[in-house]
Amino acid sequence: MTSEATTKQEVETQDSIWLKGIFRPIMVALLVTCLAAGFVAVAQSASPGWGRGIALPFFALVSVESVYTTLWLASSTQRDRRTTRFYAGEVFLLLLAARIVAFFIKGEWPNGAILAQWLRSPLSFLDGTTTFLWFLTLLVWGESTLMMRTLERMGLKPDELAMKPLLPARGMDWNEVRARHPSRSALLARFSAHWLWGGLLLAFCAGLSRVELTPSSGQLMGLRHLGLTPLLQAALVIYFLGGLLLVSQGHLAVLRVRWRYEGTPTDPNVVRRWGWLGVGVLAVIGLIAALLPFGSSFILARALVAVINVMMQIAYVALLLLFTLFGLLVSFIHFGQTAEQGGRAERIPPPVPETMSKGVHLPDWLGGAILWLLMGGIILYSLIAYLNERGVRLDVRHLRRLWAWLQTWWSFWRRRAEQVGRRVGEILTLRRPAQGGIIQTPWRFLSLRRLDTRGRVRYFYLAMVRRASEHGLPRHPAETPHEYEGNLEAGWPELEAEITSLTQAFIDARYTTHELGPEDAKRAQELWKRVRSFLRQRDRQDSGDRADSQTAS
Amino acid sequence: MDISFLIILLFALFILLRLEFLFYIIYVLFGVWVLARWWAARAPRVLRVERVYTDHAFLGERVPVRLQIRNRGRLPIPWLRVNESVPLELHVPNFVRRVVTLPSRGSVALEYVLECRQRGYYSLGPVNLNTGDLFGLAEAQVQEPRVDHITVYPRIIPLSRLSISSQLPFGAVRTRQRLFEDPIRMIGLRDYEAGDPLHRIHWKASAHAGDLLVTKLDSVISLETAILLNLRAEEYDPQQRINASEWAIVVAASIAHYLTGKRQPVGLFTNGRDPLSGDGVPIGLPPRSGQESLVKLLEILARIELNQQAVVPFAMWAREATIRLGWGTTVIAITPKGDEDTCQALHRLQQAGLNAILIVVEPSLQFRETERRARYLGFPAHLVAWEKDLDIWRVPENAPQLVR
Repeated sequence: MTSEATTKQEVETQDSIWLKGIFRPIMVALLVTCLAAGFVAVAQSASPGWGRGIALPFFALVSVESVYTTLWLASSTQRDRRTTRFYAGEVFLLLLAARIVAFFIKGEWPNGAILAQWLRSPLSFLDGTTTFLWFLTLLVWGESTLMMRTLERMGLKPDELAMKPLLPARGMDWNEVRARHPSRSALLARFSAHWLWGGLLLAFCAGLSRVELTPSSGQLMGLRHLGLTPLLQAALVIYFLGGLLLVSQGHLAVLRVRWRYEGTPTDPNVVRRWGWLGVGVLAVIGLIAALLPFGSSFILARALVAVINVMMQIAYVALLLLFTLFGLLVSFIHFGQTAEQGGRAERIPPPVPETMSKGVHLPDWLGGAILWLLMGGIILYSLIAYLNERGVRLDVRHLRRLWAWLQTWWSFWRRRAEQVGRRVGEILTLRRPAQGGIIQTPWRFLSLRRLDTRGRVRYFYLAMVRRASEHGLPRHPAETPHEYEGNLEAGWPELEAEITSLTQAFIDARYTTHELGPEDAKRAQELWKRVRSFLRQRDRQDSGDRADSQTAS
Repeated sequence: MDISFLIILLFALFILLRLEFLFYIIYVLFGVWVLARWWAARAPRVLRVERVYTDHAFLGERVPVRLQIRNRGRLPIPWLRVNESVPLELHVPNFVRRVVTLPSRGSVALEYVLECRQRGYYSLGPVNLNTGDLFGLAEAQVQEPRVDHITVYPRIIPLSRLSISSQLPFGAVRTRQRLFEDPIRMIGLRDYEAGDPLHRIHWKASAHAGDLLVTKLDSVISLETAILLNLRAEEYDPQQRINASEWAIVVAASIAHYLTGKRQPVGLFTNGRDPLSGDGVPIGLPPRSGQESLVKLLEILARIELNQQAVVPFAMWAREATIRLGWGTTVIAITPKGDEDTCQALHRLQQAGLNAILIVVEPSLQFRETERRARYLGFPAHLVAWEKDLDIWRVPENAPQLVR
């Protein structure tokens, strides 16, 4: 095999995408440094100015060193170095460095007297600062190593990458290969738990750092709540957001192994874009979260108030301009008078409403109310989800029953209210004074086009009834259409056929259920037109006769 | 990762320490949680899957398929596992898998090639899509219901000539049997002989030559042909069922192809099962000429399968299937066996004015007897159990034609 081929095979058997990335090591170093920042903040709250700005950079260096060493040891060529002796040597060097940092922090370097004291009393070497630094150094080293090793183990191993084509020849299957390596899901769960408890520890430290121990006013110990330092706020944000990013990377590792085992080719862009997508998502959520309330006032409310104030200022300026223009116009109109009046006092511009110049202030309770509403919703939702995931299902049948009962109750009372309203309306209508015994209904415009066929037929019949009433043939309320038809035919024998047909059409339209076509309405209209023209003709004739008789007289 | 647990713990810590800044962390965690669930649930709804390919192919062809997956949403899809189901006959393994990422309003294409090794009507898909969020909080799976199909035509063995004669006097396929001459196919002139009908005298040419000349007409046959393909599973030898039925389909396709090439109308009647109709009703395609008709016929032959549920024997079904065929139509019965019933059925067709031909596709030692029986009943019988048996119809154009 040529050296080129060997190199190629080596490249193929290395999970280079996973191992070569610097995103995960940086994030691990940052996370552990943030954790150390919590302890440093607690120390600073107890002893202000502790660390002199050296402690935290030192822990950051320790973290970077631990992460780098873990990655270096993970290489297959460094297998022989993964011994207890190596780790012990590394820790010893770090502790030694911590001791030097302790000298810096305390500002007293070893001199003859100190060395003599160390000889007389060896325990004096371990003063409070040194012990605390050593504790934190060990914590940072341990956390960095553990987190980085967990993430490193999540990558694909050379046998997982390269053995698949060789497996059948060796009489092996994937299950055997899988058995050699830890479950990535278990590793991710372990990492998540580690991050979670670390986060809680950091939050606890942040809480402790706010408490100032002030023995005063006759008490043994006084407690005073302080605000979080920006450093600690940044540490909390970086720890949780960075942790989420690493969890996201762990999930990617789980998926990669799953896809690898089932032999699904993966687009390299999936891995490449993963980190950026995670950063983008967290950036957006982090930004939105920053606008939400987490105190009595919140950024969103302040931003809202600022926007409203700007808008009101603009409106105020616009109104001012308008009034000025109006004033100018008025002054032009009364120019002549102004000349005559000479030194009359200038017109006072109309006062601007006082409220316009003032900004809008949201009530104080609004921020808190929104906060508690949001928090209540989140906690309730989280609690339900937490219980559901553990198989505890909330029995919502009672709630549903209550809801159904409330709906029934509501609809019952609404119906009752409607009935009462209708009844009151009827009573009022009955008590309304009638003019000339006829109830005057308000005038309404009737559109024939909007009426259906039955409506149109009824309209033409009723028009005929109205005309008949005007011409001295009113319909008695007790009369049936057929009875009225007889009266009409007796009055207008010339229109017998039309009246019969129109009456029958009305009866069909009013009392039957069978289909009526547009032609029925058209026919009724024709009949009505004939009746109308007959009546008009008769009216004209009557008026002509009257005119003749008047002329004659 | 149990985010709900973490949120509850942080809230408890807030109550304990009155640390308002923890609200920010709670919001972020809750936001991630809600977004992850919403994102994963929404992703499958904004995906559109489309296959770009040629849906008809000939045996041996390689058909590239392009599975286009489009993200119509504004949000990218961090990972999408695509599992496309493909027929094992055309692709090994019977799936195509890949994990891809889709940008906002972007698309990705998955390409694979189908090897058309076996005729048939195959389904491509459904495609299963798995997706999820970046944090492992939610996953979603959806099956894209769209299933596409590909038709692989059966193998066609080119035939150069077919010794099938007709009882019709008009047609387009030349024959050396000078029983019928086509009055519209004049091939030359010859001297008048005693007995030649007067209407054959070419008067203009005779006047020009000064002697009586008669028109010389070409001899042709017309082959309006119906192929009767027996795919009743029960009539096939169980051990040879698959191969023999496939071979019967190849023979039918080859004959149809040959006759269509000769511009003859060809029809197909089969008692096989069409998976597209699924009801097992026999299929009938009346004789038609032209490429369009051939494509229809080949499509049926591509889809058709052995009918396990067919109860009516071929001998009985053949009579019903051919009842509407015109007088003189050639009926080529392709069946596994040439038993007594089959021969009697073809004899009845012969008597009904059809021109029956029997093609037996299962290797049989008793074929001599079948041949003898067929000859006795007045129709030809051929054993075409192997590809070399088709050689009789694959002789070069200039070689002497085998005539019954």
